[in-house]
Amino acid sequence: MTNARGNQNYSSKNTANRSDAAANSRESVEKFDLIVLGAGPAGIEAALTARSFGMRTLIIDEAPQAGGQYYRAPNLSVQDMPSTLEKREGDRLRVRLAEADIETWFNHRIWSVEPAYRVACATGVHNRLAEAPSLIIATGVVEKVRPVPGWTQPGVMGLAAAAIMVKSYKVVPGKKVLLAGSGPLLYDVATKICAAGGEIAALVDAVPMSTWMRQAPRLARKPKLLTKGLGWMAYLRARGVKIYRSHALCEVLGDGEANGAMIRKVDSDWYPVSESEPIQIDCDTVCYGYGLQPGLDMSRLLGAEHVYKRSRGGWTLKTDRFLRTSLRKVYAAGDVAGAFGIDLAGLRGRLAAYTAAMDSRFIEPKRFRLEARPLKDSLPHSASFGRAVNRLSMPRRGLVAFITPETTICRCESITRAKLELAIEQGAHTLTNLRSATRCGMGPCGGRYCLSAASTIIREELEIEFGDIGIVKGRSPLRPVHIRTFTQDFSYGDLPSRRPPPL
Amino acid sequence: MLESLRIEKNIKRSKRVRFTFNETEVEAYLGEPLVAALWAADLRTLRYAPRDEKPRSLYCAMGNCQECAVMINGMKAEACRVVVNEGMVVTSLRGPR
Repeated sequence: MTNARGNQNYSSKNTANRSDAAANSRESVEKFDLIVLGAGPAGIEAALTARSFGMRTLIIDEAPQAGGQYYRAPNLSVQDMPSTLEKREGDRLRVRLAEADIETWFNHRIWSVEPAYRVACATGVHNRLAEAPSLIIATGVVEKVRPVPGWTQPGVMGLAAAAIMVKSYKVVPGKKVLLAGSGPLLYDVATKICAAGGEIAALVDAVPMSTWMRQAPRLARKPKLLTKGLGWMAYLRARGVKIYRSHALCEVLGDGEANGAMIRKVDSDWYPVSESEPIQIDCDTVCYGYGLQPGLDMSRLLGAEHVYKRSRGGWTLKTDRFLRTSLRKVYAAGDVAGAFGIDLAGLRGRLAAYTAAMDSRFIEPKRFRLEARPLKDSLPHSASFGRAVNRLSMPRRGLVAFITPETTICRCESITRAKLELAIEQGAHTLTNLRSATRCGMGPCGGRYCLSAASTIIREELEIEFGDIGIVKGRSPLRPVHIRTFTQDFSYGDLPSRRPPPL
Repeated sequence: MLESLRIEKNIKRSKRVRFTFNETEVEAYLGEPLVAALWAADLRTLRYAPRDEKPRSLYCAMGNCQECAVMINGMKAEACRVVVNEGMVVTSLRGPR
């Protein structure tokens, strides 16, 4: 495995441009009409729809099985388990995909996407290339992370990680778990842990009841989802789980591993209430997160246009109403074009496939008008639930007050708030500048878990908005790739040696 | 309270295997994610960060954050993306990369 820097070191000498996967690859390139990036609910529906129009379709995902995070399959050691609705729905999707004549590359990690369009994947230590004139990006979401002192210790994880542990690993995250943050995932995860027999130390929701009530009319537009949410709350109350509202996690205690946490009452902007005392919670594991934001690795690398919209979960891929991005024949399916959740994922996958198929003349405009327009027209109404959830869970400004100068913000490079502040003081006023100045976001995670928090530091220091702070351009490799993926069996000894020049 | 972090109720798992983590023997199930097996064995400190050498562990569980990277049979890999095999030799990364 190597990071962006390491790869460059190897590439600079013998080959003109080794980072360009196309230039000197010994592998053959497999050709398709359409490549779908990501095999979650949106990507699967997009691939199935495109295939039904006769497009030769490839779908790629780094997981061993299709389903994305929401429909993540139980791990391979589980041979039998009690059936759940999520599992049944996920299995149904997996069966439909398997029965369709669609090329599937699972366990394939996309490390580069190049224009018009070539996708490079690493699987094991092999490099594999695919080409298609059209792309559908269906990369879903990542969790919004806000640092607190002690959060890098083992025993602290995201809410999404906790969900994966329970539903796929079939392991509870801890003996006594503190759950904190905002949004529905908090209650979903708490319910899953409780139902699995785990103990919850407390559930800490930063959102005040008044904000929940304000969004209630919009939430009520999806009675089924609202009922599900209220069901979680009722279940947790019945199990006697202690719920703190208008409170936020302010520190994780521990001497190497998490062994407790401090929480504190917050006001409507989530600043600590000055007269409140921090409350110590006895726990061995802390799971926390502040909602979901689109995962933009691929689109940033391709240079698509993005836009900041709170109601869509933050920075999001800019699309027209038919899910075309700013790039020719690149479409967005599902949450990557705004985190609206599982309810709309399939619909937005199908719509993206209709548009892709029409633009490449696999279907007639007449059929598109007849079948795709109703899909498009149903979106704004259906999205109001997702928008309400995003507004509700969006981390407010006050959380920045819990980040002390010594708190690590960039996990990969161990960069503290103090170091970021110094760079901001010296003129790093955009995220791009801050990354260059400090290496924040240049580590192996590619900035997925620090850059949105780093933006809040810039906002706090300079009082400017996220739209002006910007996002950063993507860089290949998108994920760490083992160097043997490129060298294969070629070793140092195989380098052709030249006779030294005569003296 | 649960006896073990592994959820046992009505779940049938594959055959048992053994592997080592920093020379400690760990029991797990064939095909189980490595990080799940380590977590269930209460082995939570998986590596030490390259710059400040502080202990780190699973954070995202989906192959994004790279915090659970370990050495497996001499190659670096994320513990959340590798499944357990009999006799696997897993060690922690420590210090500068």
